[in-house]
Amino acid sequence: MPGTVPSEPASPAGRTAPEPERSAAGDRALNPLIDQPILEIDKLSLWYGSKQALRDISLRIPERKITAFIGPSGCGKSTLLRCINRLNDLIDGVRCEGEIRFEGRNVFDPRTEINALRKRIGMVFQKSNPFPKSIYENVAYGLRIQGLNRKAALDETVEKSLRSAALWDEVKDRLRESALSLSGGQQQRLCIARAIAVEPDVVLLDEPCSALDPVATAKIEELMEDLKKDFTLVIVTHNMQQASRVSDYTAFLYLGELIEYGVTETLFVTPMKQQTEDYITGRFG
Amino acid sequence: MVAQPSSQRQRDFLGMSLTALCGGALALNLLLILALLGLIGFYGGRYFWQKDLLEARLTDGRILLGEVHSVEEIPATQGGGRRFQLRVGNRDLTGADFLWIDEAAVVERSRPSDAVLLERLEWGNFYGRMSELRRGEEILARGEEGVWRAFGPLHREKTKLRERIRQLEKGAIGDINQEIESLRLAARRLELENPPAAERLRRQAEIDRQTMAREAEYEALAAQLFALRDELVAEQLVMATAGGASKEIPVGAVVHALRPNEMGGLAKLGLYLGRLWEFVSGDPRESNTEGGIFPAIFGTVMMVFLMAFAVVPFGVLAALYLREYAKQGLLVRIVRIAVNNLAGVPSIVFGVFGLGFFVYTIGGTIDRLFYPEALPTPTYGTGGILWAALTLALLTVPVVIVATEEGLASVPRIVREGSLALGATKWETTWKVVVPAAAPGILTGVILAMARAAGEVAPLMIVGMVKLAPTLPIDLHAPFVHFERKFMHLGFHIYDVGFQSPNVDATKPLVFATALLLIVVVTAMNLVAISIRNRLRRKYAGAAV
Repeated sequence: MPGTVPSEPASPAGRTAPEPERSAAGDRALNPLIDQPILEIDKLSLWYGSKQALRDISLRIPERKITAFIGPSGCGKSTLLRCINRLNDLIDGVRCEGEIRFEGRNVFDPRTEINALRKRIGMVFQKSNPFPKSIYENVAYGLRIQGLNRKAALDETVEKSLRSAALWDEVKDRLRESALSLSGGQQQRLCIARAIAVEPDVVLLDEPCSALDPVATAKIEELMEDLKKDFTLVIVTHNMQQASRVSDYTAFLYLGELIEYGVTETLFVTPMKQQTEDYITGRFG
Repeated sequence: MVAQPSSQRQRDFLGMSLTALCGGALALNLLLILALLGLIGFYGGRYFWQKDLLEARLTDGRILLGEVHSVEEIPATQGGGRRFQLRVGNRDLTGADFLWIDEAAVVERSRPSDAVLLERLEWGNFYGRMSELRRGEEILARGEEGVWRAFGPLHREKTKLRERIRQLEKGAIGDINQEIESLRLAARRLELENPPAAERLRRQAEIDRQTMAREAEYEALAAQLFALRDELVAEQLVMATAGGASKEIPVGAVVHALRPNEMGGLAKLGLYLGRLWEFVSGDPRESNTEGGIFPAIFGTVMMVFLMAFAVVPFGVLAALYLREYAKQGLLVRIVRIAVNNLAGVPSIVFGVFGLGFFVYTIGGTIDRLFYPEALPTPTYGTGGILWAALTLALLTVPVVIVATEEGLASVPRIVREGSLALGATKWETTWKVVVPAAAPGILTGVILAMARAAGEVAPLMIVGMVKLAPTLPIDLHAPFVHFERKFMHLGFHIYDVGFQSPNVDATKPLVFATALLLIVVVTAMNLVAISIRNRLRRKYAGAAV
């Protein structure tokens, strides 16, 4: 699988997709049956100033699965992702309506501790963004800001996180070197290690491979497969092949609306909406 | 620039000539800088080189001995030809250190090997020949060679003695003076406190007892000092000038005695380096016309470092607020424009502000609150190195703010988001990620600020810089660092020796030497800062700054 690009959207080999039960026919396209979702997005709308970027989106994200958001540029998939850990708060003039429930609690609730929320919902960005510190300090950063400074504990977590991010063997001898001396793919894996070092429940990945070459991309995809055992992953990608290769569920967004959401295999093989089919067969986007 | 597309060759030619123009402008700039450094280096470096002594017999019968200082053409309107400036020294005898002599008036020139140059503690150089060495009426040696041989060992002894006297004055006697002064202040404090009579009497008695003890010690040391000083001038060197006059000079008042015409190249090189060292490490003598400029170097460096310590926190915090926290809007824009314009305010205005605010207001208040016993003599209520450093910190804070803001702006948003997404607060993100990443930019600001501060003279003249301050702001008397002390500064020293000196001809080379040293000091400080910055950059190799 690494490095190969399927010629057409196909079901990922060797994977048994969960078989959702379908409820009412009208909802089928949007509402796969997901028991006990870790994240529940409920009628979420978002405006940048007067421009509406998200329209009434509802979807449920299952625990310890990979959920992909796909769609053409500007469809709002990154915006949706950044709502989940409230990173959009940093942008002036953003207004939200609706709810995102994380383990049943609304993240937009003013009582939500935003730093605690972000500790539990980690994020990996489109462009790798290691801090100008050593490799070790990058991974230890999240722990240090929580007040953990005991060396033995830090050493252990740093090693564990780097191993989980499949980076340990490459950097174990140069932990004190600058993180910026790593290659692009290594930097991105370091960012993943940094995100999982604080043991979040959810990791959001915002087009994590868009700046990487195919080999590095394949490594990250493999890594996501492993990480799924411990974390819930939500990935934004404009690469449909990637979505079809790695994800369990896929949501297709278009112009700020959720068009279709379902089990990846089903969505790619037998899309229920015409727009979805047009997009995945490459007729637009 | 070209109105319509012309032939490729024409366009190539235009491009090439513009490139050549830019390169030429750069080359011209470099050339000017090199010429500046070269000129200053040449004139400054030449000062320490010992020239041969020239003995000249003139048509009017006078015989002069000295060093040729400069040569110039006589304008044709005044008869033409050349004349040279001879440093004849012996200021105590002739009154003038320098003479202009027409070459036409010289009958005979020679370079006598027995001609002696004496560098003296007072009255400048003496040129002549040794004729006698005596202690009181007793003659120790006579004749040029005899005196020369006997003078060496005696002079070494006297140099050691002079050093002992200096240590006694600066050390033990200085300590006792300090103690007597603090006892005087204690007595005055007692007066101001006005405690109950019994206690007052008891404390007064204690102070009196200690003062008496110290004064007794002082008397003993002073007697010792006078004895040493008598010993220093016990032997007299009798010198004969080229013109035949004779002059007695105490051996202890001679700094160096040389026979330049006898010296080889290597000996002269040794002398050159020795003089260079003396210039860099010694105290000034004779209204700054001779000796070294160590207090000025020390004052400059210490003032600049104090300034850096003051300006960095202020500038960085202000820039952090402006860039990271303040809501970007009209007000912030106005503040930013004001900060930038602050950098353009003439420096003397800052000096006046420093005098009014730091010296009179803050210093005066400190004096009233903490040093009332010393009033009306001000302690902090007068110019001092701390106030000078703070005044310059105000002057350079815009530079640091602007550079820091640029450094902060160059840290990508995605790096900040990476930190926030890990659950860091804004403050943690700023402090642990953004500031370290912006550190090289901040250091660039510090470098610029230090370079600017080291070169400023005007504002310092009214907030604590003085012509002569041999007591350094750091010494062995508690509290070791004396922020209230006045200090010397290389920039002002240049002006002082060049234009305020009683002997301008003699100190003209000193202007160049001091200017050279100022450049060296500023460059050295900048190199330190730059190497720190490069270390940081390497550490964060590929960082955005």
